Order: sequence, then C-alpha cells, then structure tokens
Amino acid sequence: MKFGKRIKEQIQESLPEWRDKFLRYKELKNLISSPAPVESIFVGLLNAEIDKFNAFFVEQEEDFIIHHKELQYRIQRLVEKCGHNDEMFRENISEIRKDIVNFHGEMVLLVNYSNINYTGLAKILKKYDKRTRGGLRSPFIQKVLHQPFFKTDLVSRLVREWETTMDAVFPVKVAEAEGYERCASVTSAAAGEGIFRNTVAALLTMKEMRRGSSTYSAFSLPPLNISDSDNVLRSLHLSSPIPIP
Amino acid sequence: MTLANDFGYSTAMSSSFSALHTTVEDRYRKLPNSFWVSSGQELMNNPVPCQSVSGGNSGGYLFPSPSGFCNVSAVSPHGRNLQNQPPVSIVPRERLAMQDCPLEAQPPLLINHHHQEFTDSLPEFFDFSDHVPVQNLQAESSGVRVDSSVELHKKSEWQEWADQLISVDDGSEPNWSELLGDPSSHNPNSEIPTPFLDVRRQEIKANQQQQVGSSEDQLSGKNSSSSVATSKQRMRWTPELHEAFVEAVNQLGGSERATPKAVLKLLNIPGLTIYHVKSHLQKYRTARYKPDTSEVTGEPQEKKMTSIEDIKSLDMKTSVEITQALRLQMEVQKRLHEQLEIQRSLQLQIEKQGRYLQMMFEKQQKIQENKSSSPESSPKQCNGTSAEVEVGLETRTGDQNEPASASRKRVRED
Repeated sequence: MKFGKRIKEQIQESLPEWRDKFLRYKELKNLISSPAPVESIFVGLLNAEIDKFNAFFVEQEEDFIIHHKELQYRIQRLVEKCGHNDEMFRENISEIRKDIVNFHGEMVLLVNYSNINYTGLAKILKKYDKRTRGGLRSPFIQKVLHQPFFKTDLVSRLVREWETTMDAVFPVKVAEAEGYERCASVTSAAAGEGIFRNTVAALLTMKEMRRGSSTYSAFSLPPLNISDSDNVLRSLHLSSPIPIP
Repeated sequence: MTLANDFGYSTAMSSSFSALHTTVEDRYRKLPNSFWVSSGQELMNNPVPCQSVSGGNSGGYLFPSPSGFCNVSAVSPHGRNLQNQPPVSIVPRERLAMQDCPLEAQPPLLINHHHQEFTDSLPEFFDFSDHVPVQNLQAESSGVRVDSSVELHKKSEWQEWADQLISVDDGSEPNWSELLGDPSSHNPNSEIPTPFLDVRRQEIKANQQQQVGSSEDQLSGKNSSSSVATSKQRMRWTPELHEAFVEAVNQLGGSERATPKAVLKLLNIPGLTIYHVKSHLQKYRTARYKPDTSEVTGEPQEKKMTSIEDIKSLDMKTSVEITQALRLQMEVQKRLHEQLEIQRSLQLQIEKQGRYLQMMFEKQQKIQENKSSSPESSPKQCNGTSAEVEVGLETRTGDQNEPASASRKRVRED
C-alpha cells in the first residue's frame, strides 16, 4: 500500500501532461486481488503500460534533444553577440539561466518517471508472484530492463552536460548559506516552481520508499543516503509547501 | 592559440577567435565541447582540415583515432554492446542505439564526427560484401565527391578517402581495413549495421545498400512486449541524428521552407520514414519559433524584454536572490538525478544477483533430484558412495543452506 500511495502523490505533484502516463498501479493491484487473476490479461495490461511508457519517454526525449540544441545555440549566439560586453551578457543571460535550470529539471524528472514506473512494475510483479505462487516476475523484469523507457543514458548524459555548463553561465558562487532559506521561497517562474515542487516530491518519495518495509528482502533497495545535515535539504524543509511526512 | 586548441580545433580556426576578449574566452572555454558542433555554422567560416584530435581534447571527450575506432560499429537487436559511435538505429519498438554503453560526455564534435563516421561506415560496408555487390559501390562512389555543399569544408584526409573510393576501378574489393587502419572487428553480417547519420551524401549512400537488406530484419526484430504490429514504427532520435536533420533543414533553406519530403530525401537514411521526419520537423519548428514557451508544461514564460526590465527596475539584491533560487533548484535537481542513477544501478545489480541466485538454486535442485531419482544398485557400494555424496552435498548445502532456502523464500515472495 505504501508504494501505491507514494506513486499517487508523485503523480499529483508531477507536471500536468505527465499525469496519465504513469503506471496504473492501483488498477493492476486490484486485478491481482481478484479471485482468479488471469495471467494473459495481466501480462496484456503490463505490456500496454510498457508501450505507454515507451511512447511517452521516447517522445519526451526527442523534444529534449531538440530543445537541447536550441538552448546551446541561443547561448552561443549570446556569447558571440556580447563579445567583451559583460554588461550586455549579464542582462541577457538571466533568462537563459532560468531556461537551463528548468530544462535540466525536466530531464531529471523524466529519468525519475522512468525509475518510478520501473519500480512499480517490479513491485507489482512481485505481488503477482506472491499471489499466484508463480515465476512471472523474473523473466518479465528482464524484458523490462531492455525497454526504451528504462534506458535513460542519453537523457542522463544531457543532464550532466548542463550541470557542467552551469559554471559558464552562472556567476561565481558567493557564500550562500543564509541565502538558501530566502531563496527557496523566491523560486521564479511558474514553470520553474512546478518542476521544483515535482523534484522535491520525487526526492522525498524516494526516501520514503526505501526506508524499509515489511517485505524487505534481497531484492529491496537499501535506504536512501542523503545526509540530513545537508544545507540544501534543510532549506527545503523550512520553506517547502509540500507536506513532509 | 590555446582557446582553439582547448576545443581541439586546428590553428586555422583560431583566427576567428583571436579577437575575443579574455572573459569571453573564459566563457567559451567553459562551454562543453558539444556547443561547438555543426549548428554553429556562423562560427565556422574557415575551412577546417579534418583531423583526428585524439590528443587534443580538453574536455575529456572521446575522440578515438581511426585505428582504434572501428571496433564495434553495428547494433543488434539483442542489445549488443556498442561503443562510442553515435549513429542512430531506427527501430520499431526496441531501442538499439548505442546508448547502451556509458557515453561519457561525448558530444559529436563535427569534424571528428565526420571523420569517425567515414571511418566507420566503409569497413563495415565492405564486410557485407555478400549483400552488397561491389559494382554497386562503384556506382555509388562515382557519385562521391567531396563537395562543399555543406557549410563545413573538409579537406585532406577526407579528400584522400574519396579519391581512393573513386579510383577503385574493377570489381576487386579494396582492403578498406588496411586503408583506414581499422582492425576489422566488426560483427558478422547477421548483425544489423548502424545506419549513418551524416548528411554528407556519399556517406549515407554508401550505407544505403547494406541497410536495405537488413532493414527488414530490423523491423521484424520487434520488441516482444507488444504483440500488436503497428505500421507506425517508433523511432528514437539521438543528438547526432538531430544534428544531421538540422543540417539538412538548413541546406533546404530553413525550417519554414524545408519540406519533410525534401529533408527525408536529403538525409537519405534507411529506415527513416517521412512520418518520422514530419513529426520531428513539426517539433523543431515549434521549438524554434516559440522559444518563450516552456518545454513540456506549455506555460509561456515571461518574455525576455519583460524580465530584463524587471531585473533592471528591481534591486540588485533581488536579482541575486533569483540567481540563488535557481542555484538551489539546480542543486535539488542534481541531487535527485544522482540518487536516481544510483538507484537504477542498484536495481540492475539486484536483478543480476537475483538471476544468479536463481540459477544456483536451480542447479542445486537438479542435483537433489538426480540424487533421489538415481536407480538402486548394490546397496553397500551405493550406500557408501551415496552417503559420501550426501555428506558432500550436505556440507556444501550446509554452507549454502541458509542462502539457498533463503533465496527460495525470497524468490517465492517475489
């Protein structure tokens, strides 16, 4: 039940267009709970879900690739245009910065999307095997590992590229310890806020999901390792509008 | 000039940067190599010799020299491990592109990209000699010309190879491996070759023949997750393919003027359908002409002018706050991404381990079964040996008993 609740929360916090693209965990669970779950139906549903993930993921990825190039191009043009004109550069770069951060965020959310759905599939298969004393899980999950939506390498690569680009487009970091608290509430545009909220929710969800369960086994993930003394998360706790369990 | 060298460009290029101020140079330097690719046509006015810059990259990017390069070039539908080369596979359901392997920050710097691609395609092309009559190659290569139809001018090595292509007169297959210094460790002809990315006509044509033969294999090697065959084959784009697309579009006069059909024809990539091009072109147009709209959310962001004015009219302090807010957001996002990557690799490990345990357990079971089903022979001997075996087994299982039964339990629970 825990995962079901978590994924529901995730979906609620996610970007609007994404909401119907997640795993229909509850429906699948209900199917399993029914008196005589038919394997072919169950597998059929799972395959349909996988197709859905693949289609969405690949399309998002395509959009990202296009946007990635366009953003690079924009920066290039700006750098050229500004030449030695630092002031002009500074003025124009702010918009681009926002776009970079939001773009980065969306890509990370796509990786998160992939992961959540994978986790959900793994869990639902586990439940199925438990219910039917069957061995559907292992071979099926093997197949899932080769699905397009699970292969997030490209998106991750783009994510990392933008992380390294940050230095070029952001000013040198000043002492920011006290600034974080103020900042969290100032998170700029609506789009950014949506992404930010979603990201925070995703992190918290992940933490919760890995905290340990009654069915903890060799197939379970270890607890999440984010030190609570971390500045970043501490500031989130202070100002995040998302209820923290 | 160091700046140019940092990015692995020849000194011929450096003149275009010489006018830049130091701070701008710094900015350039900080931008990852991927910025300096084909779409930066404005920058690349000078002819650039195509050279292998395996020594000259500063960003830790992989630019293998030709000899080291063509080891794995094709992709199979069975998830075969691919190394560095970023060509696309147009695959119905299952993703075949090389991102199976970790691509450590490998942006397709165009020069080397072309270099590599050229190196790549030809050897593999000739490995398929049974598919491809060499005469065909001749026909194709006669059409080869190192022309400057593309904005980037390439010289020297490029020209050499092209000339060699053209100069092959009779049907004898040239030793491409030797020519290109390639240790031909390609996949056998049953494997699906990688389609070619570059818009340079000769390269794409060179690949075409081999692709046609195997494209049916590709299409039929569909993902078994879907039992429904659809005519709409899903394609997975890559940055490299997109770049080729952009080049083609630019050649055709820009995103507004280019038509899907023309782009498709120009790209000439087997397996790529007009449907793919059409939808991609549409996305591309939208991305270019509505840069103010956020990627997915569709929420229009503040216009550039407005935000600049906002910042100007506001305190400097607030603008600093905004920047800091962005940094914070970035940090959180980074964190999430890190954790996701860790989680993913853990999940993979778990499955791998699970499979291993399962295998061990099954083996164990088999041994037990064989033992119990073995026919009765002379009691003494049998007892002796079977007792031995039993003991042996027991001791072994004794060690493994815990894990074996535990794994059994786990397996069942899962």
